[in-house]
Amino acid sequence: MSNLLLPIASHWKGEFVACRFKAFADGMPLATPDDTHPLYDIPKGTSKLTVTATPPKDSPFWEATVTLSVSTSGEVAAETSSSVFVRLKTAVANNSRGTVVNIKVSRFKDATTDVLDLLTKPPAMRASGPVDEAANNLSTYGTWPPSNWLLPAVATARFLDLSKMASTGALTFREKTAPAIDGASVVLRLKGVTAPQLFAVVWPLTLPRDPGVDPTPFFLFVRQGALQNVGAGYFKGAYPDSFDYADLCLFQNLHYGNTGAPLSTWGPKGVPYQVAEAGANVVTVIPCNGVGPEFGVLSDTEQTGKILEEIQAFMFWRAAVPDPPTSIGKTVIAAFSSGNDFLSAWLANAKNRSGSFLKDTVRAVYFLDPRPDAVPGCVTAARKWAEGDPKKRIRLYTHLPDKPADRTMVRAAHKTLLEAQPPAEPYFTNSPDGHKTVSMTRFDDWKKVFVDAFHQDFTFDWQYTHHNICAAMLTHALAQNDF
Amino acid sequence: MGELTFLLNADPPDDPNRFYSLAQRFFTDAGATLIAAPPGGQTLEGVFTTLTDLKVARGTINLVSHANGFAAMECPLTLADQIAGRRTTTVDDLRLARDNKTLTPPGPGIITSKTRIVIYGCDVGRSEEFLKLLSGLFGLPDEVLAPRRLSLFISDGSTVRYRQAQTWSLVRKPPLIIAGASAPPRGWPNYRAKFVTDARDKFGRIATLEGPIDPSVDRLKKMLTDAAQNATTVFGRSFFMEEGVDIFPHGSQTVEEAAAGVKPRSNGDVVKAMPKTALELDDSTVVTTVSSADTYAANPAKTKFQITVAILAQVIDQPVLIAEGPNYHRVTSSPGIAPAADPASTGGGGGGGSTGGAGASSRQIQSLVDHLLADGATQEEVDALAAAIPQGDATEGLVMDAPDDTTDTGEVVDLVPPQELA
Repeated sequence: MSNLLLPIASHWKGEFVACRFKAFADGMPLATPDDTHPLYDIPKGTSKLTVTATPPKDSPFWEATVTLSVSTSGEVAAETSSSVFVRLKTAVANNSRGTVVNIKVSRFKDATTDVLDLLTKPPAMRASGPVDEAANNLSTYGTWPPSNWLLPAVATARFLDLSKMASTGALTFREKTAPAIDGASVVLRLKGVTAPQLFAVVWPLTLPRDPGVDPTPFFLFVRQGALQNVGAGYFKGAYPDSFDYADLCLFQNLHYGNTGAPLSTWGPKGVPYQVAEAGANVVTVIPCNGVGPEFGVLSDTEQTGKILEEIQAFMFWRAAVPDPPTSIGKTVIAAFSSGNDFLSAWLANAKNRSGSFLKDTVRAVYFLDPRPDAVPGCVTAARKWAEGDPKKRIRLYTHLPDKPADRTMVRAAHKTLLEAQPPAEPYFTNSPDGHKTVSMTRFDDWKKVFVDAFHQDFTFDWQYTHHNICAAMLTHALAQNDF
Repeated sequence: MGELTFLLNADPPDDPNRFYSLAQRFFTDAGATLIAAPPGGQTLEGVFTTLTDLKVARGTINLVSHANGFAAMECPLTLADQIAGRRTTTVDDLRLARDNKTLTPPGPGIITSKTRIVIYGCDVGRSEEFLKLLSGLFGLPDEVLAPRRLSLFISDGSTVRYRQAQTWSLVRKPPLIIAGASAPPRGWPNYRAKFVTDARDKFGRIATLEGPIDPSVDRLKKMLTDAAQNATTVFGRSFFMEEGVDIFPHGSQTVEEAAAGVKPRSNGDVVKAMPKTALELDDSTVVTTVSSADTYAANPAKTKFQITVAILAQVIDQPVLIAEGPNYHRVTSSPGIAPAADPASTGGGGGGGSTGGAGASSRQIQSLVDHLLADGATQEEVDALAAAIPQGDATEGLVMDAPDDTTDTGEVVDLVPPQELA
């Protein structure tokens, strides 16, 4: 009796992926004249098969291996560890049987361990001279290097006191323990693209990955550009597998510092903690940009949609659910600092706007302290994107610029977005329908917050305000029920 | 669209082999549209003309014809050939017709990518070249299928069934039965014994996967003996029959010169797969080759020469599966299932590190499907298996590269605060 096995590969949507295949029957390789289109005859007595699908080097898909068991009567079944990554279909004839082994390959693979390892290899030099990044990060985070990629509780975090702000109009914080983010926190590596090659993904337990659940809502956080920091000696290592990319592009945006975060200093953004604090039940995705390509393929927002779909599929497979939702849910994109330049350029692109991702999937965009001269462009691009769709939301958080001309320009942009005169600073004002937010905070507002919280001299410059608009004000945006 | 069936000939009144008559009943019962052969027999040219005149795109076209493994069908190529006395079309004739563009194909409005040509005859599927040439002359239908074995129609009184037979061929001079006799010159028992001995020698020389035949358990000899023990020229569960290879002179050749010039030819392509057991040693695994040495004068005047092949047949009482497998050979022009001229050009794009992929290549899929169908899997089951094959191209629409982004040119924003302030 012949027992034929035809391996083939597909991605999560079921479309064909070209691969080379290798198969082993109880450890012995099975011969085939054409490893791109094999048809193996499983030797009698085989109990275990492993089949590896290897896409071409320049394919966007990673290699995958599945393990199958073969019963004494020749029935082929997936072993538990592989069951989610393979579909089997068997037809039985009089004296033979044939099984199609459809191996599911992904554009992503888990790179969490790789990235953790990168954090143990900091550079010793910056442009200013020798540095001890390990000691600096130990001071910031309390533990360094991290032993895992979890998001532990932060004992004394400070979050916006949204109700008090609403009643007083003042920038107000309250101290509390930020609970650990329960769920999956991983770094995934995207194959074949120039950038982004790494994505931090935080999938909270509150969004179960069960069969038949609704499409997943996503929050895509776009950090600042990397090129600007090269002169100071950052991002000198290879992209993306070097310390700065792992630390500054990923870890720093996921975590808060260990005491009084985020107000005690600036730098760490604690994005998933803000998501949790705001009550946004959403998956956080942070792409790792690189010097040169920066956010690469994300400039084509249809690709961004495909990447988020692929992340959803990969994470469902990790949870042993073979069939992810066929689309993704409401998505919000936020950008910080020069990241707003990228976001506004993506929105300004007519081809992007005509695509289904920006048109149908992205529900809101958040601009977190763009440069003053970039604010009008952000408003124009976002308004164009939201034109004619009452469901779309735009939220803009800026600091009050020092220069009077910049103040005038930024306030005018706020007025355009709000379609009304904004109040005197500081403000966090929504449009009557709640779909638009403008916020302007002053350096002195932040200085007061710091002094009130820590009873210390405030010695920071404008960057404290700039970074903390992202590290703290994001909570305000996320609390607007945009998902 | 129902099947269209051409009977390429009719049974001679005195022929005990009721092949065409039974075929007519078989296809009538099956609801096919029948086109009987004109008086004197059909030609391939006549088939083409009929198809052209009908002016309808065709699904399945059945060609019912005596045929043989020497790549010949009982159907002359053209009416002119028929008038010149030809009874058959050989693979050489098809090649000449292709090269000389002798026939005009029915055309793409009639022979489409969904047209299927199925031959109901004997053994002609053992010549792949015959099928390929026929496919080309028809104008590249989706597929041409022809039997690998002797095929026949059997009636149990009320129902006609299409069956195949396991056969063993031996070149014989003189013919099995001299005209007018009812038995071989030395009687059936002697003939059977001699045939079994010769066939055992011929087919037993071939190695099988299970090794040399064990003389103490000679399953080949037993199989031949069982098949021959009651066989005569009367059609039954087993029988003897003859195939003649006619010798035709070309140009100024005499018939004798033509006979002397017969080049070796076989009743099938070289079999590359080793038989698994002695029970598979038959005409489908061991070809018979004839040459000028096998010719003999068919009449005292030596105006006709021929080669005679005697065949012992044992009916396989199982439904015949008309799909690539032990029963039928199939050639196809469909890009999705045809063997690629260049393996690297086959869909799937896996070769050479290409990222492209226009979909799953069907060669292995087709092999699997054909194998299972041939082994009795139901069409439903096989369809479900085929449906599990991923389609499309997962790389379509994916962008992998993007130009360097120089958007980030504004005021430098520090990454970390000075540590003394942390």
